[in-house]
Amino acid sequence: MITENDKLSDVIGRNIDLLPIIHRLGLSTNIGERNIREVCNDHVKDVNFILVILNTYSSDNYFPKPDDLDLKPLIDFLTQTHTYHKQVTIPRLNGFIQQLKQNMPNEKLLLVIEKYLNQYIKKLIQHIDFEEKDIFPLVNRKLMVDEKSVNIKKLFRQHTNVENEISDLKTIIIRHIPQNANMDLIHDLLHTLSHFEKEQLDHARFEDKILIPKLLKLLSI
Amino acid sequence: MQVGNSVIIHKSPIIQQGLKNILLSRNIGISDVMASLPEYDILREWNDLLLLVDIQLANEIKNNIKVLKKNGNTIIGIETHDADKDLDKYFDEIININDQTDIIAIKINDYIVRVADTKSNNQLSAREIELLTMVAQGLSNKQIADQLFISIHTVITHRKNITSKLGIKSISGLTLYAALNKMVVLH
Repeated sequence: MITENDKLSDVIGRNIDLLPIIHRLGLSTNIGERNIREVCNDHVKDVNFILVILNTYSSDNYFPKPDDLDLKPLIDFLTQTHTYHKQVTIPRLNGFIQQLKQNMPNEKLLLVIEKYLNQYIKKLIQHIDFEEKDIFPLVNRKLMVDEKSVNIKKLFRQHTNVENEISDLKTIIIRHIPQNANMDLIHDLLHTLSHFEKEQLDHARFEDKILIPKLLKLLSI
Repeated sequence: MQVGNSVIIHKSPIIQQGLKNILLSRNIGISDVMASLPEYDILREWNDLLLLVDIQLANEIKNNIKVLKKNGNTIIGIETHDADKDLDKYFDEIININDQTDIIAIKINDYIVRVADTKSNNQLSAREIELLTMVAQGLSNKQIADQLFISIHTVITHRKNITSKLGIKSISGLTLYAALNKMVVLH
């Protein structure tokens, strides 16, 4: 469990996958020897909020409680994460596919995977738009009351699909690696997919465990 | 760990109880105990089961043999006295009331090995491939159930088995798998 007295550099050292998350939280500069509390004070961030985020991403057994968090910073963080996937993860995945295609222009597997990935990205962007347009504004009570219970239930359902599809893609690629494939590229692609899958799971955990219960309470459904 | 599942079909409570004890000692699950063969609607849903049937019911077995075999069931006759040898052919094995435990164990063992095999080699059965192809074509559970003349419940069971054998959960993933294995053409 990460606490406010841990040095932020040690926390990153133990799990470098936290670096992009720390960056998204606006804490990645001027770390030095400082502990988490000190870095948060420097950047005027709520240390409890930061700890919940870091612990959720570092341990699968950590389940944040809805009362631990304010909704506003959480929504900001989730929106930042969406932007990160749109601007970094998705172009990176596409880049690997294009490089693999140059490497093996006639490989049928790649064409099928590319199609699958494009369909997935389309669904993911729809899901992100749905959250940002139909769910997040509920926090500021900007939506009509009648629509929301339906919307919130829909959010739960969509999550499972979004995560499973990435995990399935990984499974299928591993089983069908072509003989003449550039193994470094395949490895990078699988690594990015694994990382993406893990992030999606944690992202859904925030939304299912914190956002939705808090919203339901807020709107007293 | 439980291996497979069985149905006991015999009217004698003594034989029912005896069979139950033997099955449990071999870790075979018991999903039902009944005195006679059920309606067609029920027995056509039986898949990969071990059926322990009173040999007196051979004629009923004979009438339903096609569907019982197609769904991968193993049928063992229970004989209390020497029965008409002509009916033996509908049973995979005959257990006589006087058989000792070790002999019964050998007779049941074939079923255990077969079930364990299907579990470990993870090959899809012909029925599962048929169903997967339909899932990949975008058919709903209800449409699949209607086309195959099975219940939605059975469709769901098949889908669970497919997912556990392939390790692929989403419909998109199953479609991709089916396309790569040439079961359907992606449009």
